[in-house]
Amino acid sequence: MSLDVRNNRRREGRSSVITANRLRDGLVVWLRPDRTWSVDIGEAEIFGNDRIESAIEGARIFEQQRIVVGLYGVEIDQLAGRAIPFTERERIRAAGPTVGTDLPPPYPTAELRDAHHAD
Amino acid sequence: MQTDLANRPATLPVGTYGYDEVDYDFLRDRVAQFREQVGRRLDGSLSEDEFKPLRLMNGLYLQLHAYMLRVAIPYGVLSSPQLRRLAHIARQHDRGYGHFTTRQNIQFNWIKLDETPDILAQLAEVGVHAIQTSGNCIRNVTSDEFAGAAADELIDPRVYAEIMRQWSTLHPEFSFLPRKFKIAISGSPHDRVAARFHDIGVVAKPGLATPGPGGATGFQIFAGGGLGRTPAVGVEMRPWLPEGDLLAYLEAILRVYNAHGRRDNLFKARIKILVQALGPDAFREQVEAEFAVMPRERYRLEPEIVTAIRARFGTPELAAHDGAEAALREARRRSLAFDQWVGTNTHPHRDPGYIAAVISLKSQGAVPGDATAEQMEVIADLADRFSFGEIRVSHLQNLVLGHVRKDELHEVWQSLVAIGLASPTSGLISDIICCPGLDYCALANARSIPIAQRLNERFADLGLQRLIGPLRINISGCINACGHHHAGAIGILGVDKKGEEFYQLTLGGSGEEDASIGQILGPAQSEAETVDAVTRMVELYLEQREPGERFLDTSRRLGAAPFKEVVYAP
Amino acid sequence: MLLERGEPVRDPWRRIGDDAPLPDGHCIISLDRLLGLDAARLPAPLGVSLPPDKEPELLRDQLPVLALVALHFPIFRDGRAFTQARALREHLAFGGEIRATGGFLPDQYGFLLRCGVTTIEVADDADLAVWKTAAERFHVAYQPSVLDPAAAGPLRRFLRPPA
Repeated sequence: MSLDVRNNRRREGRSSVITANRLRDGLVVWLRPDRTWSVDIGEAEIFGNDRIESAIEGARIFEQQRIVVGLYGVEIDQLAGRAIPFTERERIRAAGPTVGTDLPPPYPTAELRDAHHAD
Repeated sequence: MQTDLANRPATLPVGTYGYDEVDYDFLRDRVAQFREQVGRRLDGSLSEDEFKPLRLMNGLYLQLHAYMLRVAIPYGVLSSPQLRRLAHIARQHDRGYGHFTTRQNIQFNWIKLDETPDILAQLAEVGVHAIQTSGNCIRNVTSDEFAGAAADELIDPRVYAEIMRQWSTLHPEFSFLPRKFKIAISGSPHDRVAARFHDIGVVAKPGLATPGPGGATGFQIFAGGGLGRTPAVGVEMRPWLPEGDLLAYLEAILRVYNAHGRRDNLFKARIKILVQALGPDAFREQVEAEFAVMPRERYRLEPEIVTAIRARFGTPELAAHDGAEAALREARRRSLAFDQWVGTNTHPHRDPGYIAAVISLKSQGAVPGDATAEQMEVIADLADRFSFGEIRVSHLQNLVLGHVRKDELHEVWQSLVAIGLASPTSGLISDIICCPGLDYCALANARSIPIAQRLNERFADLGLQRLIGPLRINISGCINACGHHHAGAIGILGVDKKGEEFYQLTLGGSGEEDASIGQILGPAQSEAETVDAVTRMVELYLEQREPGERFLDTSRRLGAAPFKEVVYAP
Repeated sequence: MLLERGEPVRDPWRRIGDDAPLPDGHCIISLDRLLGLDAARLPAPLGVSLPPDKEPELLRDQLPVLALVALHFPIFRDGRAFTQARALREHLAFGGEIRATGGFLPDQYGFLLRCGVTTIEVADDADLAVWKTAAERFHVAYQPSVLDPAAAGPLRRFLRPPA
């Protein structure tokens, strides 16, 4: 599957999680350490970016087994032990639409921005 | 599977094509085909790459959050049973709402692949489908939300839209085009369908003094229009094409496109690129050459066919009593709120006892173009009671009841007030046309709905909205321009600037017969800055306008420079 | 494996490369080679491979002596072969075999047939049931097939008698 250039982030020293859509119901899912899939990004296994590419290759089996479709890596920050996707697109994908009736909890993006600037 | 015959209407649906057994059989075959394709995907005999175009041709996208199903609403008309079925799908298989799009379709955002064959089967029972709402094929033929009702109409375009729909459905030659193909038809010389921004635009024209072999009905044909990365106004292919040649001429255009459209570069594959690459004259010559060698008797749209298709459309039995007009006047006199709503949300009907009513899906705080299952059901009931069971979907993302008796309009309005869909804002600044954006769409660079909501908050005051008058704002979350921002008097394009949402403003676009592409005013700004900039643009208009000028008129008269200045005012 | 009307059939044809000597007949050669051949000394029966970006019109003079035209799908999304097949039947009145090769899917079989394609080349291990089902999937079509001589107009017809 060709990768959106936006999902190619692999900056040194940072971490990523593995995501896909579940084939049958289309829901966004995240790969857990026990190699099962969760709809909660909080349960995702966090890989250092030095390991993420091989981890993605190792997860391709789930596409072949027709469990998920569209598998790729999402770079994250960690705040209070929780994985927060770096890009807004992935944050919305993880948490749901920011409009309508089911609003997700707001991401602490201001804190993250400050944390980035401190680097 | 057995079709539930109880769902078949006893009479023909008003304003849309009534299916017969043959049409239902076709849908059944299509559903069976898709069910089998899903089975082959799930058992591995089809890869995702092979399955993807097949599911796209049944309207099923893999979107940002889940599968999204785009259901076709041919030429934007639904019968009340069909709308109720959509409400049922929203409730049973989605999260209780649907989104009406700028191509008169409806989208459900939380669909499951393994439920989709059953969903399509339930839709097929009432003559609804999702065929070719995506994929590199001919898409939904769109039309005018006041078709069959408007006073300025020459022909009811929906009959021809239905003919083009049938002609394009699973067309053996044109199902794997270089890219998607969009057709729009207007029954009136006043173009309410943005025909000049479509791959093919069809505009009804008065007959010649001596009608040709096809009869007196004729069409102006445009080709190569479009928005997106490289917006273009369509070139006129024929100033007047007789009715009898309509399908043959469309065939000729599609043949040239299928053979010569680019296959190597997805971003250069639309027909507008081919028209520009060849040059309009050379393109026209190729089409005319193909048209000339076709065995035209095989493709002639005989008057009998048009009559037969038209005969499958139910027609409203208009029977307003003499006091209808006076009753409406009186109701307006009694209620200022109703009066204001009539002023914006109605459209003249060719019958003086009737009127068309616009149901704005743009309420304060709501998502533009969305309706809940409950709202859909209330509207279906209103349609049954007050508008012959017919509901129209506008490409401006509102709904329309096309034939309301003037003396019953007040009751319709009261029912709309009760479900929160009585915003008296049709055509005004808060009647924003807005794509789903990054909240829903994997292609987006920025969210579009929140900025639409911020603008609606800024301009919440109805008196101010009326003072401003007609002003079309279109918002797209990315350059694919599903919000048609190039065609907005004010267009807003979401961009991603270093990971943050920024918005670029365009000015002076129009999708009507004076079609123009909005001019980019300058660098993109933040959401808050953009809302302020729009405010200053509106203020400039209010200061500078001459009597009778809409915002679009003033912007054309003054040009972009003064607007640019206030947008980037320090 | 070669299919005709959803059934496997014997394939008497062979593809002959541009540099290989021409056998007596049943050979499919490239368009360039065909156009370079002496018209008086063509083997028979003769077939040509027409690339997707070439107009069938190029074959106008050779068609009377051609028994087969092979069309190609570089990928299933590239639908130019449908237009080529239809043009061969409709404009050029070609009555011989039109063969589809390349990456098309069973789900395109019905379209191929209605554009005038006679035979299709599929993988040797193809699931025949899928192809047969695909060929017979629809009972109704909304356009005439180019092969339908009795087309009484541009819309809707039965592909098989209604049940």
